[in-house]
Amino acid sequence: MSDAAIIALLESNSQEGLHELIKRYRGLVGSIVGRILIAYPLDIEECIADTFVSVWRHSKQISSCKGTLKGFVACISRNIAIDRYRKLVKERRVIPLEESEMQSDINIAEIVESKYDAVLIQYLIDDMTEPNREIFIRKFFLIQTNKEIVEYMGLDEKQVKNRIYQGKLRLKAMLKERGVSR
Amino acid sequence: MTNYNYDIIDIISSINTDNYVASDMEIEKTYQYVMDKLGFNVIGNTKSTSRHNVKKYLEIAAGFVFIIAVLTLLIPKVNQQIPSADSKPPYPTFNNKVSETIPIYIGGSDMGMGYILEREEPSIQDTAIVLINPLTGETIDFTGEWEYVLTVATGGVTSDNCQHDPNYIIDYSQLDYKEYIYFGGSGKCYIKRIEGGSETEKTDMIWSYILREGSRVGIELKKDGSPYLYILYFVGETDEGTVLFQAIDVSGGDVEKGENFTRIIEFKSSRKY
Repeated sequence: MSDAAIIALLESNSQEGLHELIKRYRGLVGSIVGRILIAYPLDIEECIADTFVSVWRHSKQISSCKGTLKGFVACISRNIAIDRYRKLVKERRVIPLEESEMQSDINIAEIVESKYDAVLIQYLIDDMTEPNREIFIRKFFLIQTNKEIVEYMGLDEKQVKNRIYQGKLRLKAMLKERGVSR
Repeated sequence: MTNYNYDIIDIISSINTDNYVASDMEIEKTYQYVMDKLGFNVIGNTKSTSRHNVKKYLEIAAGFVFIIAVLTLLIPKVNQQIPSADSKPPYPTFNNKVSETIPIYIGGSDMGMGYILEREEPSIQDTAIVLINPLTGETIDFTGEWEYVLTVATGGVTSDNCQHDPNYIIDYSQLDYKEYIYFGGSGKCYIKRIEGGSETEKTDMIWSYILREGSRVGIELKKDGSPYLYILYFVGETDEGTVLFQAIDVSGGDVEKGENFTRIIEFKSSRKY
């Protein structure tokens, strides 16, 4: 079912619309939430559900931005998972990141930190051209590993690593320009 | 809703993510969870349909909102009949476990139909207790592992809702209770085994939660397995600091006429809150 059809269904029949929404995006949401909350798997299912609840609540708002349902779903899931992650860290209920991320090149703490928040990345990607833009979005919004980015985009791994590295340097410079020190 | 700029949302929307596919089981599990959180009154078939008439549940659910409205008007009148904290309760109490049925708290501010607790036997001790998810018919059997089960609908649907704060339960986990307490409703489920502890401590814990949450509406099962509606509410605090809660069985008569409140159950806590 298309995004437009799902949104229309959410408005006409909430339950059926929700079911279709979950069918379509449960995999994506599960991936984003699962990677951010890798250290606390018990909270994953709830955050996934919270994402769909939030999308359902804002379905009218989303419907006014046609063709962006996937983006909304991804961003909402990311927000909810990051909020939960921060809360868990505050409560010291997460295991050390080093242990949970040994098998991955994803640094959740780095992503969660505000320097990679949406506003700053927005500045960054405004200046970017493709494929750098997509690489960054995949890395910091869809929380994909370098390997996955390589597979999805058909790029060389070194190329991906280098572009991410360059992007980080650029972001650092932008932060410095704005007087933000880390 | 989010802090995100629409450009990012647009970009993500244009990215191919077709590889992210969830299994049917994951999809259904999430769907049920979301339905529960949103409080949709979706009632499916339960396992032991021989004892529980699904139609009855549906009828009850349909009349749920109306009954609450009626009760809201009638509660002040009922309150006048409440015995003082010093008098001997004329009704079965929670503390001494002679209540005919185990309190079950289903629903909350969002009217969510959480889990239905089914008792196979009328006696509290050595009873068979099964939690049934009315959406799926899935059962969780706690038979023989606990003294009683309490379900509490937490209400609300948002993840940042304080009512969902698991710390509330964790705070009490140091107590050595022998009991399962099931904090559910709105899709949020905490099942925690607590061992040991006194009855007073145990009831304090439960009722302080109810006190925090306010009144509750729920469905309870009678000995014969038939359901009835009740409303549980915080009555007040005596001079001695005893907190009173009461539940009214409203299934016995014509609710529209405000008659036949078949039973008033009084719960008392010895602790001052």
